[in-house]
Amino acid sequence: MATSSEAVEVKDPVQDGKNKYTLTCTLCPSKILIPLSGEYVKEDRQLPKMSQKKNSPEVETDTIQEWFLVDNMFTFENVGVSYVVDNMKFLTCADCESGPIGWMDITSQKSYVALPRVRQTS
Amino acid sequence: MAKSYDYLFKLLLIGDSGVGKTCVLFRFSEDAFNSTFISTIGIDFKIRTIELDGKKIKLQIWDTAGQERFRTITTAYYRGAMGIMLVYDITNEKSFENIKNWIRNIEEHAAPDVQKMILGNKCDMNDKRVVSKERGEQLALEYGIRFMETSAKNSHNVEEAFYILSRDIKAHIDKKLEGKDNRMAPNPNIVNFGPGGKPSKPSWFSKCSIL
Repeated sequence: MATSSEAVEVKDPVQDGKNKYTLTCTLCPSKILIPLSGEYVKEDRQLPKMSQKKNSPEVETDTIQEWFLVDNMFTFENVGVSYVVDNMKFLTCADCESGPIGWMDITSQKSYVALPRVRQTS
Repeated sequence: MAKSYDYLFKLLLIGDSGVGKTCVLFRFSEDAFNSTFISTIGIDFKIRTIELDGKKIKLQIWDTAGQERFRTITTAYYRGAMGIMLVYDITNEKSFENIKNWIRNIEEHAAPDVQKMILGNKCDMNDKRVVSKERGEQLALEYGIRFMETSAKNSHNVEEAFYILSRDIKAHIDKKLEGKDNRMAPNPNIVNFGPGGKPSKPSWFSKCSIL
Protein backbone atom coordinates (compact mmCIF):
# COMPACT_ATOMS: atom_id res chain seq x y z
CA MET A 1 0.00 0.00 0.00
CA ALA A 2 1.14 3.48 -0.67
CA THR A 3 2.29 5.66 2.14
CA SER A 4 3.71 9.11 2.08
CA SER A 5 7.44 9.02 2.41
CA GLU A 6 10.40 11.27 1.98
CA ALA A 7 12.72 10.86 -0.93
CA VAL A 8 16.22 10.31 0.36
CA GLU A 9 19.46 11.69 -0.87
CA VAL A 10 21.12 8.67 -2.31
CA LYS A 11 24.85 8.25 -2.06
CA ASP A 12 24.74 4.53 -2.53
CA PRO A 13 21.51 2.77 -3.45
CA VAL A 14 23.00 -0.59 -2.59
CA GLN A 15 23.55 -2.39 0.69
CA ASP A 16 24.76 -5.99 0.85
CA GLY A 17 24.18 -6.24 -2.90
CA LYS A 18 20.53 -5.27 -2.55
CA ASN A 19 18.36 -2.17 -2.66
CA LYS A 20 19.10 -0.18 0.47
CA TYR A 21 15.91 1.89 0.32
CA THR A 22 12.23 1.45 -0.37
CA LEU A 23 11.57 1.86 -4.07
CA THR A 24 8.51 3.90 -4.99
CA CYS A 25 6.96 5.26 -8.16
CA THR A 26 8.51 8.49 -9.45
CA LEU A 27 5.08 10.02 -10.08
CA CYS A 28 2.93 8.85 -7.18
CA PRO A 29 3.49 7.43 -3.67
CA SER A 30 2.95 3.80 -4.66
CA LYS A 31 5.40 1.48 -2.93
CA ILE A 32 7.06 -0.98 -5.30
CA LEU A 33 9.74 -2.83 -3.32
CA ILE A 34 10.72 -2.82 0.34
CA PRO A 35 14.42 -2.54 1.25
CA LEU A 36 16.76 -5.47 0.61
CA SER A 37 14.34 -7.31 -1.65
CA GLY A 38 16.00 -6.78 -5.02
CA GLU A 39 19.48 -7.86 -6.06
CA TYR A 40 21.62 -5.14 -7.61
CA VAL A 41 22.62 -6.01 -11.17
CA LYS A 42 24.69 -4.02 -13.64
CA GLU A 43 23.89 -4.70 -17.25
CA ASP A 44 23.31 -2.43 -20.26
CA ARG A 45 19.88 -2.99 -21.67
CA GLN A 46 17.31 -1.04 -23.63
CA LEU A 47 13.97 -0.17 -22.04
CA PRO A 48 11.18 1.71 -23.85
CA LYS A 49 10.85 5.33 -22.75
CA MET A 50 7.93 6.21 -20.48
CA SER A 51 6.82 8.87 -22.94
CA GLN A 52 6.89 8.09 -26.61
CA LYS A 53 6.72 10.65 -29.39
CA LYS A 54 3.46 10.67 -31.28
CA ASN A 55 3.38 8.70 -34.50
CA SER A 56 6.91 7.54 -34.01
CA PRO A 57 7.36 4.45 -36.19
CA GLU A 58 9.73 2.84 -33.74
CA VAL A 59 9.63 2.41 -30.00
CA GLU A 60 12.07 4.86 -28.42
CA THR A 61 14.26 3.39 -25.74
CA ASP A 62 16.71 4.41 -23.02
CA THR A 63 19.82 2.48 -22.14
CA ILE A 64 19.49 1.39 -18.54
CA GLN A 65 22.62 0.27 -16.74
CA GLU A 66 21.48 -0.49 -13.22
CA TRP A 67 18.70 -2.84 -12.17
CA PHE A 68 17.26 -4.55 -9.15
CA LEU A 69 16.58 -8.21 -9.85
CA VAL A 70 13.54 -9.79 -8.19
CA ASP A 71 13.34 -13.60 -8.37
CA ASN A 72 9.74 -14.00 -7.29
CA MET A 73 7.14 -11.52 -8.48
CA PHE A 74 5.25 -11.82 -5.21
CA THR A 75 8.16 -10.07 -3.58
CA PHE A 76 6.77 -6.85 -5.03
CA GLU A 77 4.67 -4.69 -2.75
CA ASN A 78 2.66 -3.26 -5.63
CA VAL A 79 3.27 -3.66 -9.32
CA GLY A 80 1.41 -3.89 -12.61
CA VAL A 81 2.46 -6.49 -15.17
CA SER A 82 1.72 -6.05 -18.86
CA TYR A 83 0.85 -8.62 -21.49
CA VAL A 84 3.69 -10.40 -23.25
CA VAL A 85 5.65 -8.64 -25.97
CA ASP A 86 8.66 -10.41 -27.51
CA ASN A 87 8.99 -12.92 -24.71
CA MET A 88 8.89 -10.30 -21.98
CA LYS A 89 6.39 -8.45 -19.86
CA PHE A 90 6.77 -4.87 -18.77
CA LEU A 91 6.39 -3.64 -15.21
CA THR A 92 4.36 -0.56 -14.29
CA CYS A 93 3.34 1.33 -11.23
CA ALA A 94 0.27 -0.46 -9.88
CA ASP A 95 -1.41 2.81 -9.01
CA CYS A 96 -0.82 5.39 -11.71
CA GLU A 97 0.24 2.83 -14.30
CA SER A 98 3.29 4.79 -15.35
CA GLY A 99 5.98 2.73 -16.94
CA PRO A 100 7.71 0.72 -18.00
CA ILE A 101 9.62 0.74 -14.74
CA GLY A 102 11.24 -2.56 -15.63
CA TRP A 103 10.62 -5.87 -17.33
CA MET A 104 10.03 -9.54 -16.60
CA ASP A 105 11.60 -12.46 -18.40
CA ILE A 106 8.67 -14.82 -18.96
CA THR A 107 10.90 -17.89 -19.26
CA SER A 108 12.77 -17.42 -16.00
CA GLN A 109 9.98 -15.36 -14.37
CA LYS A 110 12.67 -13.03 -13.08
CA SER A 111 11.88 -9.32 -12.90
CA TYR A 112 14.24 -6.40 -13.36
CA VAL A 113 13.40 -2.97 -11.94
CA ALA A 114 15.21 -0.09 -13.64
CA LEU A 115 16.98 1.97 -10.99
CA PRO A 116 16.55 5.29 -12.86
CA ARG A 117 12.79 4.69 -13.21
CA VAL A 118 12.04 4.51 -9.49
CA ARG A 119 12.39 6.81 -6.50
CA GLN A 120 14.31 5.81 -3.42
CA THR A 121 12.57 6.68 -0.20
CA SER A 122 13.22 6.22 3.47
CA MET B 1 15.12 -16.39 1.18
CA ALA B 2 12.25 -16.53 3.65
CA LYS B 3 8.81 -16.02 2.23
CA SER B 4 7.90 -12.38 2.52
CA TYR B 5 4.16 -12.91 2.92
CA ASP B 6 1.67 -15.06 4.76
CA TYR B 7 -1.04 -15.51 2.16
CA LEU B 8 -1.37 -15.27 -1.60
CA PHE B 9 -4.83 -14.80 -3.09
CA LYS B 10 -5.73 -14.86 -6.74
CA LEU B 11 -8.66 -12.57 -7.44
CA LEU B 12 -10.66 -12.03 -10.61
CA LEU B 13 -12.74 -9.13 -11.84
CA ILE B 14 -15.73 -10.25 -13.85
CA GLY B 15 -18.57 -8.40 -15.51
CA ASP B 16 -19.76 -7.06 -18.84
CA SER B 17 -17.54 -4.92 -21.03
CA GLY B 18 -17.78 -1.25 -20.19
CA VAL B 19 -18.79 -1.55 -16.55
CA GLY B 20 -15.54 0.02 -15.44
CA LYS B 21 -13.63 -2.99 -14.24
CA THR B 22 -10.49 -0.97 -14.81
CA CYS B 23 -11.90 1.49 -12.34
CA VAL B 24 -11.98 -1.30 -9.84
CA LEU B 25 -8.46 -2.29 -10.81
CA PHE B 26 -7.75 0.73 -8.66
CA ARG B 27 -5.34 3.46 -9.14
CA PHE B 28 -3.85 5.52 -6.43
CA SER B 29 -3.36 8.61 -8.46
CA GLU B 30 -6.22 10.82 -9.48
CA ASP B 31 -4.75 11.00 -12.92
CA ALA B 32 -3.43 7.91 -14.51
CA PHE B 33 -0.14 8.51 -16.20
CA ASN B 34 -0.71 8.52 -19.90
CA SER B 35 1.91 6.09 -21.04
CA THR B 36 1.07 5.29 -24.62
CA PHE B 37 3.53 2.45 -24.56
CA ILE B 38 1.93 0.68 -21.60
CA SER B 39 -1.66 1.41 -22.58
CA THR B 40 -1.06 -0.01 -26.05
CA ILE B 41 0.16 -3.30 -24.62
CA GLY B 42 -2.31 -3.45 -21.76
CA ILE B 43 -1.95 -4.65 -18.19
CA ASP B 44 -2.39 -8.37 -17.56
CA PHE B 45 -2.54 -8.36 -13.76
CA LYS B 46 -1.51 -6.43 -10.70
CA ILE B 47 0.10 -7.47 -7.49
CA ARG B 48 -1.03 -5.74 -4.31
CA THR B 49 0.09 -6.11 -0.75
CA ILE B 50 -2.33 -5.59 2.10
CA GLU B 51 -2.27 -6.36 5.78
CA LEU B 52 -5.05 -8.18 7.61
CA ASP B 53 -4.88 -9.11 11.29
CA GLY B 54 -1.14 -8.54 11.21
CA LYS B 55 -0.70 -10.92 8.28
CA LYS B 56 0.85 -9.86 5.03
CA ILE B 57 -1.36 -10.77 2.11
CA LYS B 58 -0.40 -10.65 -1.55
CA LEU B 59 -3.24 -10.16 -3.97
CA GLN B 60 -2.84 -11.04 -7.60
CA ILE B 61 -5.71 -9.39 -9.41
CA TRP B 62 -6.70 -10.27 -12.95
CA ASP B 63 -8.96 -8.51 -15.35
CA THR B 64 -10.79 -10.59 -17.96
CA ALA B 65 -8.80 -9.16 -20.85
CA GLY B 66 -11.87 -8.72 -22.99
CA GLN B 67 -12.83 -12.40 -22.76
CA GLU B 68 -16.18 -11.24 -21.41
CA ARG B 69 -17.07 -10.03 -24.89
CA PHE B 70 -17.64 -13.66 -25.76
CA ARG B 71 -20.19 -13.84 -22.95
CA THR B 72 -18.31 -16.61 -21.31
CA ILE B 73 -15.03 -17.07 -19.61
CA THR B 74 -13.01 -20.21 -19.90
CA THR B 75 -12.11 -22.61 -17.15
CA ALA B 76 -8.44 -21.73 -17.53
CA TYR B 77 -9.10 -18.20 -16.41
CA TYR B 78 -10.87 -19.38 -13.28
CA ARG B 79 -8.16 -21.86 -12.34
CA GLY B 80 -6.86 -21.17 -8.87
CA ALA B 81 -9.15 -18.19 -8.34
CA MET B 82 -10.02 -17.74 -4.68
CA GLY B 83 -12.09 -14.60 -4.93
CA ILE B 84 -14.24 -12.99 -7.60
CA MET B 85 -15.53 -9.44 -7.84
CA LEU B 86 -18.68 -9.34 -9.95
CA VAL B 87 -18.96 -5.86 -11.35
CA TYR B 88 -21.92 -4.13 -12.95
CA ASP B 89 -22.56 -0.52 -13.88
CA ILE B 90 -25.44 1.18 -12.06
CA THR B 91 -26.16 3.19 -15.19
CA ASN B 92 -26.48 0.06 -17.32
CA GLU B 93 -29.48 -2.21 -16.71
CA LYS B 94 -28.18 -4.98 -18.96
CA SER B 95 -24.91 -5.24 -17.06
CA PHE B 96 -26.92 -5.73 -13.86
CA GLU B 97 -29.14 -8.40 -15.37
CA ASN B 98 -26.07 -10.20 -16.64
CA ILE B 99 -24.70 -10.64 -13.13
CA LYS B 100 -26.93 -13.73 -12.88
CA ASN B 101 -25.33 -15.13 -16.04
CA TRP B 102 -21.89 -14.45 -14.68
CA ILE B 103 -22.76 -16.24 -11.46
CA ARG B 104 -23.92 -19.21 -13.51
CA ASN B 105 -20.66 -19.09 -15.45
CA ILE B 106 -18.73 -19.06 -12.19
CA GLU B 107 -20.70 -22.00 -10.84
CA GLU B 108 -19.85 -23.95 -13.96
CA HIS B 109 -16.17 -23.17 -14.13
CA ALA B 110 -14.76 -21.92 -10.84
CA ALA B 111 -13.98 -23.80 -7.66
CA PRO B 112 -17.19 -24.32 -5.66
CA ASP B 113 -15.81 -22.54 -2.61
CA VAL B 114 -14.64 -19.39 -4.42
CA GLN B 115 -15.58 -16.26 -2.44
CA LYS B 116 -17.72 -13.79 -4.35
CA MET B 117 -18.80 -10.20 -4.02
CA ILE B 118 -21.06 -8.02 -6.17
CA LEU B 119 -20.00 -4.46 -6.88
CA GLY B 120 -22.39 -1.86 -8.26
CA ASN B 121 -19.99 0.51 -9.87
CA LYS B 122 -21.05 4.06 -10.50
CA CYS B 123 -17.94 5.71 -11.75
CA ASP B 124 -19.14 9.22 -11.08
CA MET B 125 -22.46 9.02 -12.87
CA ASN B 126 -25.07 8.94 -10.13
CA ASP B 127 -27.39 11.20 -12.14
CA LYS B 128 -27.65 8.49 -14.78
CA ARG B 129 -28.42 5.70 -12.33
CA VAL B 130 -30.94 3.11 -13.55
CA VAL B 131 -30.26 0.31 -11.05
CA SER B 132 -31.23 1.21 -7.49
CA LYS B 133 -29.03 0.22 -4.60
CA GLU B 134 -31.92 -1.84 -3.19
CA ARG B 135 -32.03 -4.02 -6.28
CA GLY B 136 -28.33 -4.67 -5.95
CA GLU B 137 -28.76 -5.59 -2.30
CA GLN B 138 -31.70 -7.84 -3.15
CA LEU B 139 -29.74 -9.70 -5.80
CA ALA B 140 -26.86 -10.25 -3.41
CA LEU B 141 -29.27 -11.54 -0.77
CA GLU B 142 -30.70 -13.99 -3.27
CA TYR B 143 -27.29 -15.52 -3.81
CA GLY B 144 -26.11 -15.08 -0.26
CA ILE B 145 -23.09 -13.03 -1.24
CA ARG B 146 -21.83 -9.62 -0.27
CA PHE B 147 -22.68 -6.40 -2.00
CA MET B 148 -21.24 -2.90 -2.16
CA GLU B 149 -21.60 0.12 -4.33
CA THR B 150 -18.41 1.76 -5.44
CA SER B 151 -17.79 5.22 -6.75
CA ALA B 152 -14.92 7.14 -8.14
CA LYS B 153 -15.66 10.03 -5.81
CA ASN B 154 -15.71 7.82 -2.77
CA SER B 155 -12.96 5.49 -3.87
CA HIS B 156 -12.59 4.31 -0.31
CA ASN B 157 -15.35 1.79 -0.95
CA VAL B 158 -13.39 0.00 -3.62
CA GLU B 159 -10.40 -0.47 -1.37
CA GLU B 160 -12.75 -1.57 1.38
CA ALA B 161 -14.34 -4.09 -0.95
CA PHE B 162 -10.98 -5.74 -1.60
CA TYR B 163 -10.26 -5.89 2.10
CA ILE B 164 -13.63 -7.49 2.77
CA LEU B 165 -13.24 -10.07 0.02
CA SER B 166 -9.72 -10.85 1.21
CA ARG B 167 -10.95 -11.20 4.77
CA ASP B 168 -13.59 -13.70 3.60
CA ILE B 169 -10.99 -15.73 1.73
CA LYS B 170 -8.64 -15.70 4.69
CA ALA B 171 -11.40 -16.78 7.07
CA HIS B 172 -12.36 -19.55 4.67
CA ILE B 173 -8.78 -20.81 4.38
CA ASP B 174 -8.14 -20.57 8.11
CA LYS B 175 -11.28 -22.56 8.74
CA LYS B 176 -10.19 -25.20 6.23
CA LEU B 177 -6.78 -25.42 7.87
CA GLU B 178 -8.33 -25.86 11.25
CA GLY B 179 -10.23 -28.76 9.77
CA LYS B 180 -13.54 -27.39 10.89
CA ASP B 181 -16.73 -28.01 9.00
CA ASN B 182 -16.97 -25.44 6.27
CA ARG B 183 -20.07 -26.56 4.48
CA MET B 184 -22.16 -23.90 6.19
CA ALA B 185 -23.90 -21.49 3.87
CA PRO B 186 -22.26 -18.10 3.88
CA ASN B 187 -24.03 -15.31 5.66
CA PRO B 188 -25.64 -12.85 3.32
CA ASN B 189 -23.87 -9.85 4.65
CA ILE B 190 -24.56 -6.53 3.12
CA VAL B 191 -21.91 -3.98 3.74
CA ASN B 192 -22.54 -0.31 3.46
CA PHE B 193 -19.96 2.37 3.60
CA GLY B 194 -21.88 5.48 2.81
CA PRO B 195 -20.58 9.00 2.63
CA GLY B 196 -19.79 10.27 6.09
CA GLY B 197 -18.54 6.87 7.10
CA LYS B 198 -14.86 6.54 7.61
CA PRO B 199 -12.89 9.56 6.49
CA SER B 200 -11.51 8.92 3.09
CA LYS B 201 -7.78 8.51 2.92
CA PRO B 202 -5.52 8.37 -0.06
CA SER B 203 -6.41 5.21 -1.76
CA TRP B 204 -5.02 2.93 -4.37
CA PHE B 205 -8.50 2.46 -5.70
CA SER B 206 -9.46 5.63 -7.34
CA LYS B 207 -10.40 7.36 -10.51
CA CYS B 208 -11.82 5.23 -13.21
CA SER B 209 -11.66 4.83 -16.89
CA ILE B 210 -14.32 2.84 -18.61
CA LEU B 211 -13.08 -0.42 -20.01
